[in-house]
Amino acid sequence: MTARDQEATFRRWLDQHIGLILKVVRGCVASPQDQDDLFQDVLLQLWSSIPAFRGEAKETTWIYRVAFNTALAWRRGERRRREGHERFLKFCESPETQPSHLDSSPEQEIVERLYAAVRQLPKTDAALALMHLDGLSYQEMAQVVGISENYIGVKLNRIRHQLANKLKGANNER
Amino acid sequence: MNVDEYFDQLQSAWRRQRVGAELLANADADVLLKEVQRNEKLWRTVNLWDAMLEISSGFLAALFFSYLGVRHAHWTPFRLPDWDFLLVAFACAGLASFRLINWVIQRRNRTTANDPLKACIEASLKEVEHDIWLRRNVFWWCWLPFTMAFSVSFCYASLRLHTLKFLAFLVLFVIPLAWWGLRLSRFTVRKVLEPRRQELEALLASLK
Repeated sequence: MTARDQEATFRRWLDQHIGLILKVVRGCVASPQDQDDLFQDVLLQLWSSIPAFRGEAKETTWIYRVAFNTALAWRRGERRRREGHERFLKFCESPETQPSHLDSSPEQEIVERLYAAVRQLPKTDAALALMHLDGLSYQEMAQVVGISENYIGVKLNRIRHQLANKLKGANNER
Repeated sequence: MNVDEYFDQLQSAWRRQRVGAELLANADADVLLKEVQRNEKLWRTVNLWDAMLEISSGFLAALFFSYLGVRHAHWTPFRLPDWDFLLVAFACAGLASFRLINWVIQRRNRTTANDPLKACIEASLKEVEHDIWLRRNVFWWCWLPFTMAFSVSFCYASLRLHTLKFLAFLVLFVIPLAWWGLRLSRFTVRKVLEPRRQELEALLASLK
């Protein structure tokens, strides 16, 4: 693969799947700075993984794998200790800088609480929850995680109940 | 409303979020690409430097002590240079070779970020366990040969050259260095590697 092809693929993935990456990042870490660090690490790993991408797996499966593996290996502050870097995820630094669609509409509130609930799950369960919320099939999830589809079903059943109960519990407290 | 219905509601709210647009307002693809390329270069350099520092310093020390060995040798025909500093050079080269072979083997076994999660967790666990084993046994493969070589060589050099400076170097620098290195390895195992191993074992257990 030439450098030009790698660059073109990266741009296309950014264009088409940036939402997926941001969801994984926000589902794995909470603070804006950590999200920014992890986001940049995921992009770096994605960039490095492109030459190995032969199109045998679906692009989304590939990106999920890279994103979750990076998130699992990620260590808070490691990148900041090593280098100074520009921040890109400025959207959630303060309420004033948030775009209009991130206002406190009831639906956005539900989404924010879902992110918080997902972050409380064990990391592998959080990965499954994020893919399930995005509507991936059991087969695709099995390819990303490397476990059987049956087991995915068992785990998802438990995760759905956990998440629903957490959010219902939070609703009742309010 | 039962749990499944409620979860379906959550799922539809989730799918309607417009998360992608948030970033593009602040950084376009060109800026991100440039940053990623810069980070990749830096990342490669830092990783290689981390690995090579220990190995190359071992080989450099071996070169330095070989030079000392040759320089302080009494050159007589059909006789090898005096062995004192050469023993240290041999120990340093041995340690550096051991680290180099270990680095190559570990690098070959490493998974990539595009492997399935379970395979990556298993590989990381193996890597951490190997690192713990290395650091727990650092006395046997590193500090014992290192300090023994230095002690024997420097005591012999002090006697041969009628000076106490080598003995002083041994007591004031080499032995404290070995002690500090040993403590540092134990600290790293306790504070960094063991928690990481437990974390990875828990992750793997959650997938079994």
